[in-house]
Amino acid sequence: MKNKKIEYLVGCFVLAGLAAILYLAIQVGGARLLGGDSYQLKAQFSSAAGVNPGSRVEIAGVRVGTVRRVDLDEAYFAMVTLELPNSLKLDEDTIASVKTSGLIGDRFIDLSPGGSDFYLEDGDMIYDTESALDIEDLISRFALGGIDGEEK
Amino acid sequence: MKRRLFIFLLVFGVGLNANPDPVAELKDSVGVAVEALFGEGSETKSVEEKRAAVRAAFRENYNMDIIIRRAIGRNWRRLTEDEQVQILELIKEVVLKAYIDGMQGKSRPEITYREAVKNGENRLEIPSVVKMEDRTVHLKYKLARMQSGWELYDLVAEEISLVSNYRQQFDEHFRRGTAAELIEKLQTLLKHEKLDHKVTL
Repeated sequence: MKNKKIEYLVGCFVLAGLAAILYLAIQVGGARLLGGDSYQLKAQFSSAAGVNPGSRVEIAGVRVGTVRRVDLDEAYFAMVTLELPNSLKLDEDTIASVKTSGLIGDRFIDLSPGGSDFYLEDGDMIYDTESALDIEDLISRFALGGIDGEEK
Repeated sequence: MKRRLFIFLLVFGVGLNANPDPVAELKDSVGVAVEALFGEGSETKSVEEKRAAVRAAFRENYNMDIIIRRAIGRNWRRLTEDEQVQILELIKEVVLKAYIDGMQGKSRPEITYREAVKNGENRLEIPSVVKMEDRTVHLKYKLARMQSGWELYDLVAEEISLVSNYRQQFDEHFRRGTAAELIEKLQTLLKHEKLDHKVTL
């Protein structure tokens, strides 16, 4: 009888340990359990170079979410899926930009909240996007003309 | 690059809701603004007459509220109704003044439209090339189907969004300043003898 009780307690202990490991794995992996408290938005960029799943999503330099996926859509644009907390309400005129931390730092998505009073919902698309500044492209435009001045 | 108000010069927000063909309507509305300054007999008109013609064309054909509101972004909710109305009107006047001042003495701009690109059912982008004097600007008009119909909601010049650019300036202003100070700044801008394309908030 006593042995049975000990075996029962050990079984419970093992199960609790396994549950804790499972929970830890889900949290570390960023997956969601039972629905979750976040929603996803999509944003289409002409270039999402340097943005990867796990990249930061920021507002005013404060991390508010994570890049969940980066895919190529049917028009060969980069389709970035952002995961954001439900508590964060974003207007339909929010602008998403690919930014770089410093000169050679990581790429992240910066959100500039709008004020249209029409809120984005799970699965909606952010249409106003800006890709990262391409320094090589900028230099070539200055060299060959066509930007902010005379054409050479 | 400097944030340039001159992008506004040819491209005010356009009310496109009446026309089922938003591309044709956009071209017509831009044409009206150009015609008001460079149309037949314009060379004999005084500056005041041109100003009146542009003002009339502007009031009749253009709806800038959407672009201005998008540029103000999150700060819009910080304004009272009175401030919203006042700021909208002042910005329109600044844009109008910048357009007239900026175009004075210049030759007629040459605008070439390229094929419109659909982005889903409710978004449209119309690329164009504007040649004016020695300057060439690649301009993209961004239109959306809204409750009121097709409306211009952003302009992208050389891959730089007008709304995004000015939103940064408004954000910077409202981080430290108030609506009253913005109104004062805009009123000061209107008192300038001449506004050029380097106007910033």
